[in-house]
Amino acid sequence: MYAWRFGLAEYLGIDPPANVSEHEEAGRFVPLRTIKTADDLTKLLSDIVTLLHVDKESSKAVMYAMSEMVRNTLEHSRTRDGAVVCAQSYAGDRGRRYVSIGVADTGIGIRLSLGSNHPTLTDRAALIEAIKPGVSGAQQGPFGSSDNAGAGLFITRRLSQATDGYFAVGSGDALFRTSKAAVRPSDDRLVIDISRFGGTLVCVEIGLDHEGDFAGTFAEARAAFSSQLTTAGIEVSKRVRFS
Amino acid sequence: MNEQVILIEPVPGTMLAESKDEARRFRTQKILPALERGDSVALDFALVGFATQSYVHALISEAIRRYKDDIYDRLTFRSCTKEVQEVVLTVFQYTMAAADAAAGLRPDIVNDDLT
Repeated sequence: MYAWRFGLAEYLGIDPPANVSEHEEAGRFVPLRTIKTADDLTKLLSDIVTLLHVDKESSKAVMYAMSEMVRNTLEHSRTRDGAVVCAQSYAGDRGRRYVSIGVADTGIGIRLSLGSNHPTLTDRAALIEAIKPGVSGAQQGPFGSSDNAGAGLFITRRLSQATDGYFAVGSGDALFRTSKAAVRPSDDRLVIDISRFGGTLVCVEIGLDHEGDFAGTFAEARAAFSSQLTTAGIEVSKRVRFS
Repeated sequence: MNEQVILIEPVPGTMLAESKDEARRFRTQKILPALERGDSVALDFALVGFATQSYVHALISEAIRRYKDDIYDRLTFRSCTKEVQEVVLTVFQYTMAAADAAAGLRPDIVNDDLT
């Protein structure tokens, strides 16, 4: 019933098998829609705040994640069918509100999209590679392309975790999903086997009542990113000129 | 040295800058040519509340890579929110690290894939 209410019947162009009680969309969810172009994505981002009824501060992380994940599909999946997306706002534990977004495509999948830059033997290994910073199939070297850094999955995952959210990415016969355990397992222990799915699917959950603002949340993500880059770190904050 | 000012615009109806097509256009048609001429560039984020890392990467990473330490004096950022500043610093940090690694200056990059 849930999938029908999410617009699956309309999306597939079929009649739903049962009557569906429809409520006002605004404040609840973004029904299934296809994003094939940058203009489609622009329209989606413009609609999100209205459809999900989230405040501007909370909407930042949601729009950020949606943009990064959909652009991954548009740029790397090599499918003409685009990305299928949806989103929902809901109350979680102890009344806290969350937004969960889903992005899926039927493209070549992560293992093949990493290509010759990061040859891997299995979907599982490809997933582990893809969530590391600086790994992309669309670049020539470490953060080496003018258009792609290979940082989208890493930062989006960290944004999600910083707001106590859940993050999952699946492709082929493997699915990586984060853990909320107090002692978090290493990433390679967070991959499970799934029934084969040739494309890529991503789920990003964002906690809306995070104590910090988006800048603070992103600062946490940046710190995690930096810790993966160098042992000594490069102090750029005192040299970049903001006015 | 002349200064070229570029106004960054958000997605209509939002405060988010995320159009990589626009970033690519600014980079190839304005930022890199201005730097090549010896001019400086100011990126004005007054209309923007936040930006994706992908957008900022497409906008400035090539300039950082080409001009390395000189870029600190030739590329400035106006009216940035804390959010935009965090993203700009992130892109500077990893691009500088990668540029140094490529030049053999930083063998200490942790991620094996970056070496």
